[in-house]
Amino acid sequence: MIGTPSAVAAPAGGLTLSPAALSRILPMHLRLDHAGQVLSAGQTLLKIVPGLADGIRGRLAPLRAHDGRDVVEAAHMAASEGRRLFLGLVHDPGIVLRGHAVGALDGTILLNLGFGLSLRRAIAACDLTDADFPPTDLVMEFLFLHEANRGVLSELSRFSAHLETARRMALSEAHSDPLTGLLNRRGLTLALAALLRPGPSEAPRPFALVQLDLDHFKPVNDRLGHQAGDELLAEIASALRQTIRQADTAARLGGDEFVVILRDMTCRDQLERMASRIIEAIRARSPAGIAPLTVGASLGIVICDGSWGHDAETILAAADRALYRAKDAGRGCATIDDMPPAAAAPGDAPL
Amino acid sequence: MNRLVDRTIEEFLRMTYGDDLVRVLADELALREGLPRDDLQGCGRQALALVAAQMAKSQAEMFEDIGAWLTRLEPIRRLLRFSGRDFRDFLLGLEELPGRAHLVLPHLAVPDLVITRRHGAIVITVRAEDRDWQPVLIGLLRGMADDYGALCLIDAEGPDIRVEIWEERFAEGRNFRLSSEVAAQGERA
Repeated sequence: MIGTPSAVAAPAGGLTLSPAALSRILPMHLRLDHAGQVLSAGQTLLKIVPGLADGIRGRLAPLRAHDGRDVVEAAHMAASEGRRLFLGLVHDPGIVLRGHAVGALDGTILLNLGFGLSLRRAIAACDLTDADFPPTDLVMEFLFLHEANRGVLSELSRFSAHLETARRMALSEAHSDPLTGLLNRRGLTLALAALLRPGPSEAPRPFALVQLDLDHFKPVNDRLGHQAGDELLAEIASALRQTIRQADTAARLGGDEFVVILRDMTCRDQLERMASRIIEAIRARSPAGIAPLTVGASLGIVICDGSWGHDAETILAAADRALYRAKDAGRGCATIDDMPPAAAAPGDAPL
Repeated sequence: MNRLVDRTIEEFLRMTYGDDLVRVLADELALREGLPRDDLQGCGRQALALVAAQMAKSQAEMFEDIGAWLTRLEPIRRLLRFSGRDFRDFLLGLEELPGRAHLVLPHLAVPDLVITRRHGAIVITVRAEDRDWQPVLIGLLRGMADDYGALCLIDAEGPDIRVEIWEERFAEGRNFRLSSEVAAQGERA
């Protein structure tokens, strides 16, 4: 029962408030008499703890072990020792109120409670409004900040996703040849480096590197014009891509010079078949306008068995030597070499 | 912070006039700069001026439209509604707006606002070097008056904004709950 305003005359300097005035200035207060009867309770607290006017026991419970089990006793201890009080709602354990208490001159106890971290939950559960909070409370600022922060964060993550996409596009442009869409020299260097120096726990995998030069490409440019030459290069690039496997890599180093990396392909028969398929695909695209000449391809291939110690430059130089032997042999063919074992300096091998 | 302003303009143009218009604008600006672009970053105002010329609207009208559009974005409307329990309270609390904005975006150049009462009206003095703030705020105030359901006259008066409230609760106003979760549930229901 909420008692009538106690008619205790305030001693000099003391303060007497009606329950209505008390409720307005402290909407989360609770006033208890010595036995724990509720004398008055703030309007917001009553909204959160229905039936509180009929008694505090069974509705609020102390949460800190040292406050004991009885809520009235805990309130008395908080008032006499000046300790903070943490009270849980019995009907909604997710909401924890925290506050402090003082003893009044008339022997009653005045508690003032607040929400702490359960604020948003309490607002949602009890549909509290602006009017439920005193103007001194920072609730509106807290809610404002919470929602504004969420908005700014999502804007930020949108922006960084946007930046990431742009970065990836710029990277892939820096590593690819704009005419054919194949890797450029830089892209090839990175792809080779990744093959030769895989992650710390992985061994390098075997592969074959193909250096490819077109035969009779210059007449295409001279007789049919540079645009026809560019179109042919793009066509040959796409033929090359269709001929090799998905895991393989093709690059154009400039002019009519191409490099292909064939992963895990070290068998000479397989490589010869692949080479003739590539040469066939390129011949099939030779423009009629340069007859009786035909655009074809010469290939120099080196097989790297996956041992440590080779570097990209040595491999490319070996492929180049193989290529020149193919050209000397009459063009339109492939020469295959094994990469000699590298004289790996001690310390080059992985630990 | 200009990034945010440009993005606001871009998003406004996108939602009001469509993605195609933004694409045309980006192409137009890319031609002028000689650099490829797919958004309006760095030249939101130029883009807005181009659209204004196309629509035969003044630049100020475009900024007013942006202000009103902002109040129709639910997250922003909610942030604004935290500033006052009714429209009058909201107006009187406008002086706190820059402070609130700076809580979240410390570098946003929000103008100082001074509120005075003059002959029964509320006058908002906008202390900004940038004159585009005035039409943005006029659009924003008109949008929020609707949101609160207040009937009023909001207009420029020199560099100031004059608001005459005729009826505080003219219409129902849009629903506002403190809890965003409860508000979202209410909308779904």
